[in-house]
Amino acid sequence: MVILITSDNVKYVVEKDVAELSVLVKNMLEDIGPSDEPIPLHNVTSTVFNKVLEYCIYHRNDPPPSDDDEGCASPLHKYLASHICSEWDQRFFDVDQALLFDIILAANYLDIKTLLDDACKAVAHLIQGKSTEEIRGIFNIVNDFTPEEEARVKKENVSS
Amino acid sequence: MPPRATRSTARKKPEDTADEDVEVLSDNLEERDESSVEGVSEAESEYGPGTKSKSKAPPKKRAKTSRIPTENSPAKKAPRGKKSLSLLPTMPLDVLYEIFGNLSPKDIFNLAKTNKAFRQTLLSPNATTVWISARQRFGAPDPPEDMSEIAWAALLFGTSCQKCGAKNIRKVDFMLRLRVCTNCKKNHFVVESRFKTLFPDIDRSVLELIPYTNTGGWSHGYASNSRFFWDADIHSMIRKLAVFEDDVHRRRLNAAKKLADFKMERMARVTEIKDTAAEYGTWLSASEMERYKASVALVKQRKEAIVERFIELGYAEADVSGLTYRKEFQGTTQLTDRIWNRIRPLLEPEIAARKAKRLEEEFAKIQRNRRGIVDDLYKSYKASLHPSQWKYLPRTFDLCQLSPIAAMVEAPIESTVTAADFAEAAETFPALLSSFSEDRKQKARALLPSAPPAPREPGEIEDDVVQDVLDLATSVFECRNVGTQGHARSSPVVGSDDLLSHHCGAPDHGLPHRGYYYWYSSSEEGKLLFSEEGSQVAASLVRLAGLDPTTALASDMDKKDLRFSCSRCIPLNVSGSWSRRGYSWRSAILHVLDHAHSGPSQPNVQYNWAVLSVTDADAVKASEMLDRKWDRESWTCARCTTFLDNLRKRVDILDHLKSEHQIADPKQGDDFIFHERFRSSFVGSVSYSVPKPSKEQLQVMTANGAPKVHCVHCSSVSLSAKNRLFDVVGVTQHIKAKHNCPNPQMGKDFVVAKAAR
Repeated sequence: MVILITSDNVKYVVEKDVAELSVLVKNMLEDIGPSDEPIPLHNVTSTVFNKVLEYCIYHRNDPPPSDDDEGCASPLHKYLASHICSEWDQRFFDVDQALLFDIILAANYLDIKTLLDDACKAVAHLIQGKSTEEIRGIFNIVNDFTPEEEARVKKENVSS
Repeated sequence: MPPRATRSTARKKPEDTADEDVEVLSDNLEERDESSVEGVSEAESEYGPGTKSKSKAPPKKRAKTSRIPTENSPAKKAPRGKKSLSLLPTMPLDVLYEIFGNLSPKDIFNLAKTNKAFRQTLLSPNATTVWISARQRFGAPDPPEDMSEIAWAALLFGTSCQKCGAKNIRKVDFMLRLRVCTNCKKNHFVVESRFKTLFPDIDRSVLELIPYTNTGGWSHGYASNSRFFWDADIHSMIRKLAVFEDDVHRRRLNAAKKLADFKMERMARVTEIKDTAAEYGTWLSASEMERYKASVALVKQRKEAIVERFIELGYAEADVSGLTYRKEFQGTTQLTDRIWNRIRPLLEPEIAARKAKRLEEEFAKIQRNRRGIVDDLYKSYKASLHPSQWKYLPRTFDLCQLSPIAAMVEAPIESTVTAADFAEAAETFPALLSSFSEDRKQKARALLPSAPPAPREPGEIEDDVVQDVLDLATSVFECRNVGTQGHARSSPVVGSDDLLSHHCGAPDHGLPHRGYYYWYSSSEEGKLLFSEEGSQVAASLVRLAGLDPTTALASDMDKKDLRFSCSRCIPLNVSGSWSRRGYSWRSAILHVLDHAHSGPSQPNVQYNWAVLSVTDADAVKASEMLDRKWDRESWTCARCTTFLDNLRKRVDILDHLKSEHQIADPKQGDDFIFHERFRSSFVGSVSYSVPKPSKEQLQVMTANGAPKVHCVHCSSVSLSAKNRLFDVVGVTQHIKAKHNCPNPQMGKDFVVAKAAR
């Protein structure tokens, strides 16, 4: 078992195989060797870590991602279907944007590649197939182009 | 392993080069004629709207930060976690690139148009990996050497005309590396044969330095042997050559060599463009096909997802499948809760209506099955009766409307009604049918002008049947159920027997069947009316028969079996053989109710009936027996139930009696029965022979036997005018024209001519 402490001082006792899904934790465990010392996670709050842990526990037995998997379907079809992940993942990432981005940051910090990839896909899915105006609406992006710039941008050769 | 860039680095202020980058990259997407002529680098020429900046120094290394937050930094305006804030721009640059790596080139272009910061980030050379990743995901080939990733992406994945911005232009001309609409092609292509006309002062060798296409603007996409050049390319090349030639003219160092090198390089470029065009075109076609197949698969997936959601809501697949043509089903986007919440209210009302209709149809089917069970039980019951009784039985449809059968047939779809339940209810058939018949009689009595008799005691029924007012010969009803096969236009119903056997709602005139249409055929309820006119005729016929109209029963008249002649009927002349129509008392009533002699040509007709002599009556009866009515498949054996729902022709029944029952001389009524669900009239004319009319009588008859008339107004004019004979139509027109009488009347304006004596 591994003891992890989040930035808001919440202690978690996690099974080793689950904790080692994080390359950061795995490296630290290797560095310090067998020890009962808790490992601090400075950049992760307990709220976010709960979600991260939920993901890691669910995916603990997943085979490691392989590049070969991507060779079976056509690239275009992979793109079109890229947002289609498992139902569990869909529900998992069906959270508000703030938490979703915190999960991304946590996955980035903890170096959990599969979580980072899946979370990025979830954000990309919010963008895919949307017009410029729709993307602005979804992410509350303020249009700071001057009317002239706007007209010029719109005239560009890729329609939105 | 060190973590990737964090939020703290992402919140750095933008560098001064930000706007510059935007400008440079915007220029990359500009049209060809706006590109700079300066600089010999072809990378910046019209053919390479993008730049690989071979000649440029690599951009200065910058810190790995995202400058986006400073352009639109919601984190500074409100605390994190608030849903409405824009969080995407606050992410570290490498995370952003990770996200963008999942987007298509088109998505990235759209994102780059949202605000300056995104534009700057995505169109910067640092973002090339994002573009490469997006392109490679689509299996697109690498860009040509003289095009940047972004310009290449714009060419391959754009959907609008690169010249005028017209939408939905997908076809790329790789010979020119342009995606332009047909109108722009028509306006800007210069065909080689017109070059000297348009550029008279320019040597045509300039064309060898410019790429061309063989597909003109007017050829509907078909290639030809002609070479078409983009006009801006020609102008641009002329300007470039002018610079080189000017250098040569000024005798600058190596100017001639530079010009020659330039030309060599241009020609090599043109050759390379030409050689690679086919390869790119093949990829694009394959890509489009793949895109189509992939989108078809995704549409199918979305349809299935929507259907599944509706099934979860309690609908059946059949309720939804009929609507899959709707645009809500046609998207390639995966069905999310948000999309579902949007499209559900658009689809559900119609799907709910389809469900209601389906349930209605299912219920109707169940009802038909239930009625089928009743029908089988009803047939068994009928089979237990003598065939002569069948005609009094109502249709299965009517039976199914009687309680408790009705409650069982109409029971909700959820409730289980078994054949055993119906079998139990079948025990009540005799009582139900008796009650039904009595109810019909009571309703018919209520139609009579006099008040219905007081309710009877159970023991008095037998006497009352005899004295029932319905049995009077003058209780004449008309059935208005017009249009049923074999049903007279105004069929008279006289007497209880007629009334109880009158079931004309069925589509056939035999026994009911269980066809779909049968169950929805209308009942005769409400179609039966008391006929005042028919009652008066019946009264006059009763008097002619020597009976009292107030007491004479229909059965009394049937027993008398008299035949009558109508004074209004004209004699019939068939090949010199003269005859007149004869009528039974029932067909005489029908003759009047059919208004055989009324109409505009013969208003105010008075019917005068006379009893035929025994000889003439026998002739009429013989004529009746020969009528084609008896040839119908309406006969049944009275000895068995073989023909219960399978009526046959008389000859078939006689054969049956002979073979099955060994009856050599069968008698109608005892051995076989003509089964009618309502009394039908004769098909042909029933007549008896009469002497040929005298010459004088023939003179005052029209060709069809109608009486001729005189004009009253002409009688005072002259003898010849007075004796002039008309038919009724002729005299009406004559009076209107000659005597200015708009509405001539019989008796007043014209009179029936009498035969001379």
